[in-house]
Formats: sequence, structure tokens, C-alpha cells
Amino acid sequence: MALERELEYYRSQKEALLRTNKGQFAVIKGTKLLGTYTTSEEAFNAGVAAFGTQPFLVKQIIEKEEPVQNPALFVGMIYAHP
Amino acid sequence: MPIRNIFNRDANNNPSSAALRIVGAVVPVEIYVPQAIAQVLTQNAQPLPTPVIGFAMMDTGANGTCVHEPSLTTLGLNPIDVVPSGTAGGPVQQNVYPARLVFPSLGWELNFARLTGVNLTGQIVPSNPPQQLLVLVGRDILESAILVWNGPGGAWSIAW
Repeated sequence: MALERELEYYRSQKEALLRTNKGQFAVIKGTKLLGTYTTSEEAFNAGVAAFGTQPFLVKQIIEKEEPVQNPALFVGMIYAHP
Repeated sequence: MPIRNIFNRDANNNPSSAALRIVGAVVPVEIYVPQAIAQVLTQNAQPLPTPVIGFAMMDTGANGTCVHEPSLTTLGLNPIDVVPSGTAGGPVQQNVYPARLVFPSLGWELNFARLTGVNLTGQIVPSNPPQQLLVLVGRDILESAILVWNGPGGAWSIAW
């Protein structure tokens, strides 16, 4: 899976981030939090400014993520994964 | 709010309900790297990737817009997140990417920080010539649009 280190770090910090920055978007590279931002666009642009074209995580700080809903995917009319 | 009327035509060039049923509510789409990435590439004197061209389908069943993942990796884009999704094979994690989508026939140019990557391999739009379906336009875009399906008229309309 992509961004494993970043996701693990996010999970380890999630409770603290929920207390201070709920609803915002965190930018994480490796085990470093670059910052939190109001919108996903703002977060992405900050990540690109800091890390260029290298991979980084942009994660909204919320308790439970809304799953992707697409009935065409659910029933297998369209494959969800390679 | 400009309105676009899209007619699906038969071999005699007449609007056709059958043609609309077969093809669906599709429009051409071009996928580019997002502007922030394009700026970095330009600053580093690196060439901009050639846009990926195909079709987009209006998908009122999708809560978010999905993009054919190989078209995003072809552009050299990295995922920026993973999100949960339910599929016929059970729950999976799907990658999220940024990208810029251009819909020439609609006059739309949208910079997205979050698009879900999916595999649309084999989903070919029976246009002339046939082309790959690349984008499922979900309710995150359609929430700003008025979409009308005119089956008997062989047409659909969108205002945005």
C-alpha cells in the first residue's frame, strides 16, 4: 500500500490531532507533520511547495472516513482495483 | 449558468434514444498534472507530461469523482491518500490523487486535490473512434450542476 509510513504516523497522532485540528487537512512526509490546513487544495499546494514531486500524505483529520460510494463499483460492473 | 445540450445521434445523424442508451452521458476529457506540479516541473526544466485523453461519464451514483488509475500513474502522479471503499469483492483501500481535468466541450477546467483512483480497464466508450472511459463524474462535481436526461429525445443537458 502507498504511503504506509505516513499513514502509520497519522494513526499514531490521530487522537492528538483530533483534539487540536479536527476537520483540517494534515500534510505528512515520513514521520514528520508539515502542518495542518483548512482545505485539501491548500494542504496539497503546501506539500508540493515543501516536497516537490515526492510522495506525501494529505489526510483530513476526522474520526471516521466517509467510504467511497459507487454502485457501479459495488456490483462489479466496473473493477475497483487493477 | 451556461447550458450544454448533448445529442447522441444514429447513423442518419438524427438524435436517437438508442444511441443515448448505448453510449450514456459522456463527454471528452483531458487529464493533466495539477497546476502546482506543473509549476515545479517547469521550474526544474522538466517536460510536462502529455495529457491523457478519453471520455468522462456522468455518474450520479458516485459520491466522488473517480479516475482511471493508470492514466494518473502515466502522468507520473503519486497518491496523496488512501480511502475506504466497498466493492463486489469486499472492502478495499483505494488511492487518492490530485489532477487537473479539462472538459473541452463543456468549457470546464477543474483542478482537483482529491480524486479516487479506480480501474476502468475495458470500459470503452463506443464513440467514433472508440475511446477509453477515464473519468466517472461524481456528485462532488454534480452538486454544482443541473443535469437533465432526455431519453426520448436522445439527448442530455447540463448547466454548471
